[in-house]
Amino acid sequence: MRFNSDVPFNAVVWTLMVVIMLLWLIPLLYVFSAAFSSADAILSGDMLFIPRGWNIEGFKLIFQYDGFGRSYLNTILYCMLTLAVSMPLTLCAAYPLSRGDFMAKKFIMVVYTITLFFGGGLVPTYLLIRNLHLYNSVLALVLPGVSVWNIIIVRSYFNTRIPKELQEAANIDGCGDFAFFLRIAVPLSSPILIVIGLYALVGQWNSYFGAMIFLDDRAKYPLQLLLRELLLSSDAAAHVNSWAGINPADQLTALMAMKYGTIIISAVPLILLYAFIQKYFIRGVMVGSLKG
Amino acid sequence: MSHPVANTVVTPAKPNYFKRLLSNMRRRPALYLMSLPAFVLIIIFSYVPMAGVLMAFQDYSVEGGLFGSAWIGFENFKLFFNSYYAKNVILNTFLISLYSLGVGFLMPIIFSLLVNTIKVKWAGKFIKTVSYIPYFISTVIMVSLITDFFNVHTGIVNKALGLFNIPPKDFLNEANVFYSLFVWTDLWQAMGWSSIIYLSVLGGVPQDLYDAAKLDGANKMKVLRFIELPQLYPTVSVLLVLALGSLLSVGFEKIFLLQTPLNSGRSEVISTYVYKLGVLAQDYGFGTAVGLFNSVVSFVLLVLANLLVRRISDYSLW
Repeated sequence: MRFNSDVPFNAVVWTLMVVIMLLWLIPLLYVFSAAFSSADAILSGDMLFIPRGWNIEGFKLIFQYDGFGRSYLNTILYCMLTLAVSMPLTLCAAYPLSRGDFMAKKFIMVVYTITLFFGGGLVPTYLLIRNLHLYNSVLALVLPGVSVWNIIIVRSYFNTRIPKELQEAANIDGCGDFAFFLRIAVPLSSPILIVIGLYALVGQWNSYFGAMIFLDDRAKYPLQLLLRELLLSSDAAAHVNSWAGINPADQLTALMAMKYGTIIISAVPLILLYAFIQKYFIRGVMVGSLKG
Repeated sequence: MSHPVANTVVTPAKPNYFKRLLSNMRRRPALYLMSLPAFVLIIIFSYVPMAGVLMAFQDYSVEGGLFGSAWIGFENFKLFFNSYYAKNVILNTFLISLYSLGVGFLMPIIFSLLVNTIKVKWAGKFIKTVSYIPYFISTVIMVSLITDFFNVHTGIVNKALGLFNIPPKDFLNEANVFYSLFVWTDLWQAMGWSSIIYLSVLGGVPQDLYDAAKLDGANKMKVLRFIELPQLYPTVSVLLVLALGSLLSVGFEKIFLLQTPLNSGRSEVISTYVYKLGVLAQDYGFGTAVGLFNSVVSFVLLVLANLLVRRISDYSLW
């Protein structure tokens, strides 16, 4: 018996893990405690990982920022729209491809697969959106988002999970393809739907690029585009109406107080959502990873 | 639609197929109808832009459109390759991509193997959960945090370096550290999340393999090396091909926001360049040409990657 042979190995692993945890937790803790600290404490560097000058002023200030509330609602709306469009579309596209006797299967798969290897690029896509009169429309963010990857993942899920025999038996009993799809295939697909749904949701919630090139109207801005202005541009203070007369130094302090509150408000919903569905998500990943 | 009977007379082989297709459509109309919406969207939003790459060979004007603009052959490409920026932009794209791939691909594998050896249940769970959190932080917020933390005067990174008597460094404007700044902050965001798939594979390693290893007196290191790692190979090779295929589509969103006039020598990549010239400056033909160059190189890389992985997987353990 080699008694102690794991000791050095364990020591190395635990040391590495402690270092990784420090590197991962310090920024997170900093953001969290800054959101509940006074702006002065943040600026002076007194605050590190424990809130100093405990207050929630920042959270209140956020709503004075022109358009913040609206952009938050926009993002929720765009996310729901994305899910409402892409989930049914993906299921509908994937199911026929999983049926061996669907004769257009090969042709459609070739058409889909080519898009994985080659695309037109940014400029032709941008001009297409303009020519379709989708510029400045939410649809420009939602419609191009049908993911071929997702269709393929759901297809292989259906392939392995819904045996041909079951479907044939249903057909003999007079259950048509669409009825079978709705009553059997869709309910069975929930584990994989949670996986692709979460990806779609997080993607839409966190992206600013599509909105930056396709939306013109500030009232339509999603949260991330507004955050870009608030967190990264130098003239953010100009968008707080009530600050017109206040001196720049105070504006800077107020912006600092706002900043971390904004970060918490925009990132925490996703983290909480994940915490709730984690169990199902991991299960879905396992099911999905069993077969490519 | 061609008449099946008429076809039968002309070419005897094909009508059979069309006849079968038609009867398949008649028997299973739902399957065809269900395929339609996604199919149409993909044709519109993927194939129409592909046809649009013809603009790369035009002096494209919005008034003329694709049919009324002058054809200028490879002028746009020549213009790009002869420009002062071309070499830098291409080099940056390649180097950032490779660096990013090396770090971003290897680390999650190592991380998942190591976390998996931790048998203290709550600790393993805690480490995994903490490592997932940064994935949910958006690019905009992430860049805002980076600008705060790496600030030359007030950032906590420089304060921490100060503890070891290292003089403060202006990470955000220093061209030489841009690659590392991009790659390692990306790792912070993605390591935990990317490891989920590996951890789920490791969770399914058959118990009898462990039992056999124990009988043979293997220690943890040996189990990791000879049992767990090989179990990851199939997943790793699939993900590697995919990663190589999207190699040149380096994160536009983050690079664009991290760019400053001072670091642009290292931070200008093909996608940001295309955006600035093709969309902002409305030089559509030129932007398309540069984008097309990127797509063609990506495609070649993907094909090579596929060949390579197939070859390696034939020769090696799995």
